Amino acid sequence: MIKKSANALKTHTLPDNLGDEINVLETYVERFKKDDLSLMEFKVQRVPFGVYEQRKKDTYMIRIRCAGACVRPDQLKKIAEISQVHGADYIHLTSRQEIQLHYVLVDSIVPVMWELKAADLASRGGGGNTVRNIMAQEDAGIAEDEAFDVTPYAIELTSRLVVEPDSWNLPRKFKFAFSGSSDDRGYATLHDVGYIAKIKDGVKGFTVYVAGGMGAKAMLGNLLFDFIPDTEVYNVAKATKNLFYKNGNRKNKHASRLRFLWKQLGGDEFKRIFFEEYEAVKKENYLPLAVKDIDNVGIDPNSDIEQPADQKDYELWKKRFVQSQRQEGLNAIILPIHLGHVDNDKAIKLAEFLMPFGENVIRIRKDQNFLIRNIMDKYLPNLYNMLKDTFDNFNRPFIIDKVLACAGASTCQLGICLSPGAATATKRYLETCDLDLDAVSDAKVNISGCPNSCGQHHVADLGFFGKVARRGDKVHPAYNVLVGSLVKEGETEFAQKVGEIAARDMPFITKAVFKSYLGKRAKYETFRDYMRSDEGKEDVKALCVKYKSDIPDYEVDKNYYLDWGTDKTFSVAERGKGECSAGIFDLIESDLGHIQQAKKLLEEINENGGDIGQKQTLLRDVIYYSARILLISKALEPQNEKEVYSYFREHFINTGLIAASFDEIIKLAEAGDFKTLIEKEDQVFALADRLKYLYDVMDSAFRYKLKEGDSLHNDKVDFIPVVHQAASASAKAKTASTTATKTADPALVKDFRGVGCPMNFVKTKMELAKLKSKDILEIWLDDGQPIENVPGSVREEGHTVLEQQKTDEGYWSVVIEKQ
Amino acid sequence: MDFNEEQLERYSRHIILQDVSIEGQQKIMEGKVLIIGMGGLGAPVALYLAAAGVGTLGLVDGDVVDLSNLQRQVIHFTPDVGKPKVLSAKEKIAQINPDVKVVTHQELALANNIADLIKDYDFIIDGTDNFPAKFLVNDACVFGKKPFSHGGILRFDGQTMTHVPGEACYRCVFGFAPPLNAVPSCSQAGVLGAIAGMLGTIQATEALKFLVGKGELLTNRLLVFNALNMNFRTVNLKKNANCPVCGDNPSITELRDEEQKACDITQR
Repeated sequence: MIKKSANALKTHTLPDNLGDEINVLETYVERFKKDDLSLMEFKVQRVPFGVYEQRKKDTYMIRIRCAGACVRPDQLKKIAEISQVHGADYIHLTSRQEIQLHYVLVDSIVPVMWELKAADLASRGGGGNTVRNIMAQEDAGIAEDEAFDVTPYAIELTSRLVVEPDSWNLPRKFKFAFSGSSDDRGYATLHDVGYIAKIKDGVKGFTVYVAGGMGAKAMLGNLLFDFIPDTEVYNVAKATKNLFYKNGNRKNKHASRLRFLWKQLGGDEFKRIFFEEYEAVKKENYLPLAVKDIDNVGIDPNSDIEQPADQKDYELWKKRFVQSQRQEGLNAIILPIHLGHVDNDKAIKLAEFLMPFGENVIRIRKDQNFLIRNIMDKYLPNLYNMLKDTFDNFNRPFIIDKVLACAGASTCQLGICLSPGAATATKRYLETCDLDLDAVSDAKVNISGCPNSCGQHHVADLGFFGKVARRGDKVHPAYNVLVGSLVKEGETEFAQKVGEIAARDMPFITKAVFKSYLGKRAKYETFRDYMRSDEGKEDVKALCVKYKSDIPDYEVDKNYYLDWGTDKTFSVAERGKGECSAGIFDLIESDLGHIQQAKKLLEEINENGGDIGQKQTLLRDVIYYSARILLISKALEPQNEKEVYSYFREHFINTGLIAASFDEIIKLAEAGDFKTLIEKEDQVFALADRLKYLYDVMDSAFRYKLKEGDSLHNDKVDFIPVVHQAASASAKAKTASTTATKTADPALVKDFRGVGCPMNFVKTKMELAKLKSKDILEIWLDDGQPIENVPGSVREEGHTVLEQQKTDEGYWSVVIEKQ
Repeated sequence: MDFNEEQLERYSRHIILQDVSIEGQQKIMEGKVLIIGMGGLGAPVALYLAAAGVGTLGLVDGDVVDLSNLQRQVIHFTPDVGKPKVLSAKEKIAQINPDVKVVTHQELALANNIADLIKDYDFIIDGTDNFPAKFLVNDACVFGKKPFSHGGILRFDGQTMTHVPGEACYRCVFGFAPPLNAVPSCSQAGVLGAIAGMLGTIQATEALKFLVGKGELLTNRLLVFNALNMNFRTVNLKKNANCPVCGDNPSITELRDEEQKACDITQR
């Protein structure tokens, strides 16, 4: 029996029709399973339910709404239990204060929804173009500096908005946040709509900011109201939502958030339209939010008071993680959760421990850790003992687990770098270092795998976001380095880029920056102060330059060309359409830089005279980078100069994107005949211009939007690269042989050498058709396309390839068992 | 299974398909399809079925090629004007695929001969151009327990459904032919030539799916499209207990010819 205070925490009210909506979703799931619904159609249905497909095929992430960062202990327990049955062996805390289930199979989606509903939880609006989780600063209700507790507003606004159908059908996602003070710990100035609590003439109310947001084109929120009384919170939310619903850009997903509308209309026009909507909303006489205070009181479970198992460690833990609340005798405790992953059984133990302490004891922090609250002084040892028994690393310098990373390229379809891998590597490195890390426990080290700000690099003291870099012909994972943000009402500043580093170097540079700070602590009170100072910026800049210049060649250390946590060579091209366009643009921009640099130098030589040899080299650069620059848009990653030219010919000249007349200079470059090339300088420049033009008209899906009459072949449509090209498949096929466990003496041998694709496969099928099930057929195939294609096709038909072996003569023997 | 080298190559793109494969191609080559009407619909059907290697193609049409036919009846060429359509078609089929056996019936399909015409075939294509003929084909197939593909086109619209014994038939949906002059004929209303190809190739696809035994036919479904806005949709159908030919108490128990009204017949 859980004790309740008078005003216990009540999480948001689920809409009455949630059950009906789950039923509808179920029909879509069933149709999808029967192949009656395409992937795309299914996606449209599931994403607004907070169900995302993960990189691992046929597995899904379900994101559960936790309005105001709140979750009751019994709910936490339930979520972890659901995860045990249907998900991964952990649950995940997000930087937007939600909880996610990972690796859920399609059959489990609907059962999970029902089980969540039974615990007053829902994932509706967890994704898609919807009103997303409404955030509140995690220490709302217990902080010293707040005007009043904003949590009930976040919860009540959620209850209102989730029943309105248009909340599920907006031009893009729509995010609200609440802060209790100008310190803006709820990030109100970084949201589509943000409320900061104020008290004016004894009246509770809010300052309102709109059209802010992080992400690729981050923007600070703009002041909309100096003050509204708290009775107007709903009207302002509703009017903003209406404005967005009617005016937001639904066509271009990449320019559709509210901040783009602000930019497009200008502030004055935006406000004019807003006030039209606001007046209209006010005429509707909606009731103000039914806000009920939530008690932050200590509930005494009357358990036995324990002694800490390790007094010295307990004191250190208290110093690190326990803070007194403004409510006397009560404590808030940070529980660090590395990368937001909590094992299911640990979450259950935590929840069970907390259940007797009432409902209002857990918040999810924006840095993906738990904040436990309302624990009476006398029970701190009990909590300590439970944590010590349950969690391995609950008492080490906070910064180690505070390093914040987004989900990264392994589960996110947008990612460039494996940010969690980098965070883990950084953590491991810090663990073993000899620095006084408790002195940097306030540091915000935030990592995003791509320019989108899921890892909140914009608001970091030391931030990183993933990019692709190139050294010679090789690409490697890399990060831009940013420093010195400040989040505070009216003063918010994003972190500024000071350099870039190889992904490999992230742990080292993080430690180096900490070390630098610890040496200068006398001058700077906090790590943030140091990172915001000119000296700090210059120090980090210098460190980036140093580390970057030390990146070894592929031949020397290939680790630099792998991302953290994988042994696969880093590649952007192998990802599908639009999934990593940001990374691709990095590469294109870098080649564009090379071209412009070479052109500039050439022009100087032409004006002032210069060495002929140097001129040849520069011309070679222009033609080489011009040929290479857009290959990546077609998912091609040439490994050497020869491939650059042959891919270019195949994909640009033969397709009519580039005039056939340019083949002449490509041939000269291929042959290394730079003497003749000098006479064709104009053509080399024209080629570079043409490529630049193609890049200019390329859209984000890598299609070239040529003007009429611009294409050399009118009907050539330029298709988007979707799959990995055969180029690298040949590499795979060259692995000497693959042998299944069985070996058998083939009854029949057929020689299909000299038979091209697909006739070799046709003939193989013909032979297989004559055989009985489990009969064995051996076929001989040529190297190259035949061995790359036929065994796969045979397998696809359900037969078993028992063995494939390259003979000394250079052809392949493939042994097949008929299905 | 004896595919010669040339057949393997000719049908290689079918054989590669997992759902056709050697066995499916074998069934196509053993299949017999009757095409009633060698006009706008029959032309593409015949071309694709011949190319696919259907063993026997029966062609029924009493007409000769007219210059006005050439805008859509793509199996007939300009020098064929004046030639019986079934002969013109047979010549083209022989050029596309000499493996195909062609049986020509240079006559109209009528109540007194249709049962005999369809009896030796596995699948019937309705490529006729008038309502009495369409209902006659339906009734004959229902009585003869033959599967068939109905097709109709006008202006920019097309519709098609596939009947197999025991499932919804053309009359389940449409009952009886509309009154004379209620619906214009092609020669009155016109028809975009290319939609004959669109609909005919759907009918050919249905015939091939039937022969191979894979996929879901357009049974108990009516596919309609409008080529002007390129909208396609399928309407779900049910077998109708009150159907005059296959319902519980059928009013039609024998084949009969109704008054004809069609492009070509009225023109003559």
